[in-house]
Amino acid sequence: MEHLLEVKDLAVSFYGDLGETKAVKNASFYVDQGEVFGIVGESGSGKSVATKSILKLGPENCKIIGGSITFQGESIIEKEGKELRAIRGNEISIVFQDSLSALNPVYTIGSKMVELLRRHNHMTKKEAYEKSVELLTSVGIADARKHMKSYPHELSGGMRQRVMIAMAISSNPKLMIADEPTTALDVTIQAQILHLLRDIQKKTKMSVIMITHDLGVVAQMCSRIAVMCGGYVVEQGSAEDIFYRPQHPYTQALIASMPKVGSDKLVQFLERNVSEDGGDGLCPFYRRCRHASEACAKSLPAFYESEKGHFVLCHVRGIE
Amino acid sequence: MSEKLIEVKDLQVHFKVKSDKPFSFRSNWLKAVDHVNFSIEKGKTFGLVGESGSGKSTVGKAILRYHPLKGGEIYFEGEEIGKKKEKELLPIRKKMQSVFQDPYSSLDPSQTVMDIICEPMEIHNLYTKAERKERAKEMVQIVGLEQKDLLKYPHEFSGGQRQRISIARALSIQPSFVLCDEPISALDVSLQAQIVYMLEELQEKYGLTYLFISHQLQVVQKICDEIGVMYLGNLLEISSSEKLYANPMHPYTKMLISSILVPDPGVKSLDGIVPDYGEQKRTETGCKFAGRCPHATKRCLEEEPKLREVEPGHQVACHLYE
Repeated sequence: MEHLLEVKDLAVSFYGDLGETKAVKNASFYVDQGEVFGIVGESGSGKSVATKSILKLGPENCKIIGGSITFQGESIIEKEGKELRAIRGNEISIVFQDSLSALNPVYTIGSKMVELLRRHNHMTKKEAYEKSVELLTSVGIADARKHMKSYPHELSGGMRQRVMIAMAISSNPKLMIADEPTTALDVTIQAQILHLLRDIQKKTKMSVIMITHDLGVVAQMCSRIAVMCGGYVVEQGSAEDIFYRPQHPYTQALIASMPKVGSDKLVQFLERNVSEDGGDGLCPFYRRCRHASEACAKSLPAFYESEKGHFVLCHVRGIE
Repeated sequence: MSEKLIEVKDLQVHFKVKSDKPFSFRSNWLKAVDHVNFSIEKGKTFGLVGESGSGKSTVGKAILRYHPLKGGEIYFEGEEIGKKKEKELLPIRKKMQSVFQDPYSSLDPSQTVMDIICEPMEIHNLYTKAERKERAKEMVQIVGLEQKDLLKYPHEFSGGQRQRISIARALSIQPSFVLCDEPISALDVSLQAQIVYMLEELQEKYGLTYLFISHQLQVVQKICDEIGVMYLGNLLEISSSEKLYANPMHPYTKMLISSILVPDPGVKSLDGIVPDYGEQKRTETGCKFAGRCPHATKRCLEEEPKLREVEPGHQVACHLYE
């Protein structure tokens, strides 16, 4: 079966005053039709940059320097301008973490929704207005007609995130990228938003990429997961593979360090120090890894398949 | 019963907000903290949890007297400090320090680590200049940094290291009480454990008392001896941390604990959460949580429940337990 989205050997760099910074060194993953795919990793692991590059939403000094991105069997990496805009927001939409800065503070929710619908779906003003009210109601905003006249700062964080989701689903996208959609929210609101996202996903059968650092969120939402560390995807597999049979030492440490209710233990692991990351072409975790061998200091390991669909980037195999 | 370091009685903090009526010059008052009572024993950690807007940070800042009080009393080592003037507060502030959430904005970017750690000692006129430098060197080692780091600026450090600098600054004048206002919320999970362990170690070594404010219940449970649950300015439940998780009593606490997602794909915890679409509403009468509470009765809307001891060491403000 063909994948809906396939990212292969993606490399993204930032060019600044200090020269080149490689944010994503090698990221390969795929998303199938109708699945919720999770990308987890610490801050600075490149998870956001990798997914934003799919839509070329990085800042100006950010360049894709290698790899391929295939969406619905078509390469989209060299698309620019009009062709790119036909995909961005239409076929692939995105929900950001910080809804207050993602929404323009000087426009009302309604005027933004109407603009969006008219641009992507070629509706008249009136049609767009009615459709907006309908969309806002469908994401659980009571009194949607009244809130069309609200400014972003007048809504709570949870409601703003609902508006973001309403905008993201307005053109029935095939794929939604949710970049830390609930990180800024309280736990009770987080549960509401995740419920909503899951209901919408089930109804519309769209695919979702969830980017998060919260393992609780991926465990509950995603069927397949990729783990990123230092610009590399180091492990990829089904949720069960990652949580029950993690093979990469980094994934194992990440899962062990999650605080759990009812257990008094917190597991420490080494602080990431950028200068201590492996150099170019070395495993990003090897200086912090308990299992590091001589091979790790010499070359980048290749992916091996520990079981069907479970890929691990590591020299050492069969670590318990 | 051991000695109480801090006791808060009937604490009220109100903020002036704009009136919702146009052209009105009369201002409204937002009751950020509304009749809160609790105490912290010496050498223990008291946790405050709650959603954003619950007033947990305001309580912490009010104890340090960063906010003017509307009413109530604060006792520090048996001495009332709620009504003291700025000048009289200086010797007391020497014993109270704080570590804040955002390690980026709470450190002055134009100062070196040496300046940052020495500043509290300068303000309180402690030690000679040479002694301060010695002490700063000692402090960075205690928090797990190196002496050469003293000459660096905050931007040269990672988030976890910056939080270590904040802790070194707070401890440089040997306080007895430290307010930790979401000290680990901005850090990656892998770093949170380190900072929590360091705070615990320092507590044991120096006999510190903490007020630990956080919205992450999983973490609070580990570090705190006692936990208070806040909602819209009221304390709804106070209990030892084991009891709170094993037997949460207030419907709000139950909701909070059940909203924690289990990092295990085999446990479908999201399915078990009943999505609650209620909103936080500040009501004048009755229980503030009544609008979202599945057990709310007519009485809850009319009469505000008082915090009362239901079991030894477990206080709940709810009509269900009367």
